[in-house]
Amino acid sequence: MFWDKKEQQVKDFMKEHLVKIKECLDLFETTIGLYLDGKEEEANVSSYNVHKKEHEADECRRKILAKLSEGAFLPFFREDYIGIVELVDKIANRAKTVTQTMVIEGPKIPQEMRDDIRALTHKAVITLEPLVKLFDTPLLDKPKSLTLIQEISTREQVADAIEFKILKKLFKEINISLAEKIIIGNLVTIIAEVADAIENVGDRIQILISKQAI
Amino acid sequence: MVLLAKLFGGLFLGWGIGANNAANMFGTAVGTNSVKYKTAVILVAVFVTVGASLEGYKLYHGYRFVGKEVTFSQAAVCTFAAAASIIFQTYLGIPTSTTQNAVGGVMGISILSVGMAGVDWMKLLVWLFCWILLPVIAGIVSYAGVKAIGYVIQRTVKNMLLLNLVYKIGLIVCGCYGAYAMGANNVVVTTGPFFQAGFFGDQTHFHAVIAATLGGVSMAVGALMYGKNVMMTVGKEITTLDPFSALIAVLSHSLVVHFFTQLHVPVSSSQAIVGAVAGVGLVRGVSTVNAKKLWAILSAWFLSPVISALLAMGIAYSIGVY
Repeated sequence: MFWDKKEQQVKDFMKEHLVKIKECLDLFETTIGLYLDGKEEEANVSSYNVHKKEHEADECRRKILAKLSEGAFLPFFREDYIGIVELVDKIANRAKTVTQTMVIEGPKIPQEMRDDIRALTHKAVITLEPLVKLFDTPLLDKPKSLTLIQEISTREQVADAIEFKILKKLFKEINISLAEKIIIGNLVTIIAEVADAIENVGDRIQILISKQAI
Repeated sequence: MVLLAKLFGGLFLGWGIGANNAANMFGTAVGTNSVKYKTAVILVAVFVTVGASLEGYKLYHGYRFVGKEVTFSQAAVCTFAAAASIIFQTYLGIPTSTTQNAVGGVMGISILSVGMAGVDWMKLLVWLFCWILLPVIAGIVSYAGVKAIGYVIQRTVKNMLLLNLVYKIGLIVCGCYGAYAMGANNVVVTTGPFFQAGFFGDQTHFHAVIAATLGGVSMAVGALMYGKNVMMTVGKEITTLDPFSALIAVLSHSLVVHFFTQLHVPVSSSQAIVGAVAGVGLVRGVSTVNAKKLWAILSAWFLSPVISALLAMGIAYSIGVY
């Protein structure tokens, strides 16, 4: 429709942005998997693909911001949309940070921790699923939207619990140097932060929904 | 040009109304980028003229406080006095209203021409009562509007894009309606006294429409010339509201001003918007009425007509027009 052409474009770009984020997270999971399998060279290449995908997501973010600055949405809503787009973009930034840290620092992950890290990575990545559904749901349909936001939060808590379990195991049970423990611990923490970043988007959307209460 | 010069006082009042009140109608729509400044002032100009032409005539026949007709000179003096009174009060920093100054000017000339006893005081009391009632009714309509329209929107609009569109279109439609209502109601203060003086010919419906259209054009010119500047400065009153509250405030203002047009009572558009904003604030738990605004309204109700009437009497007496 003529009246909401810009808004429709923003919505389309936001979906495109989220697709890039999803692809970025899939590559992120693949990269970590390769690294944990000991395929460091392939992990290196895959890490570069994460970087490229993060860059593509950045391009999408810029397109959205440009459209918003052209006057899409009333300013009252625009501020929220800018906030949401920035937070969505941070998901890819986190994923890139994890893979870069991993290939640069190259920590030796003990065998008994590999499956745990694989599980944590997977749980962090699947936190995005309800967010993708949320983007396809009419936001002001409160019961549906709030259920999906709650689902994001629940999944993030699962990732948090795994992170805690891994860190506890790392510092209490694994027999490696403290320096190695700190490096691996930092890696585990930043993997879990991917789920945190996704939860932040859900929380920001909840603010947008709450502001519409009359 | 000679015609326009003769009508100077009235057209000046129309110009002032157009310039000052455009912000009330489109302040939010412009502030929220729903419509560009240029488009907004053009819409105000168009709808104010349409409102004046289609419904302005309703107030023309009753815009007098004496039984006998006024002369052209008296009409010129009372409109000029109202204009001078506005400038004088603005200079002194006293908040004022065009409508109430204009009515004061007519009152002053009426008192001078027939004496205190011959003036229709009952009509003035009714008008004063309506002026007091106006912001109260606007507040009540606004309060009810937030509840009722809010209920409908919350239950029907589930999509952010649609909500954004509803507000965008709503702000423009309500702004146009506001300009229409203002044109229909306020135009009488511009050429009403001249119509009463027979300047446009006999007091027929046709001549009332001609007079109202000319007055409407003067308001449109005011909106086109200075509407933008006022919208950017004074329009902050309403632009700070969220889109829904602003939409309801402008709609309530327009409905109430339009309602008083049907009662043939000229009212202040600005006072209607203050009442409407207060009504919205009440629902939201935000106080929008402060001592400064209350003083602005009270002085416009009581002080403005008195100053304008005294000025009209002074000018008319000094030049022998009574």
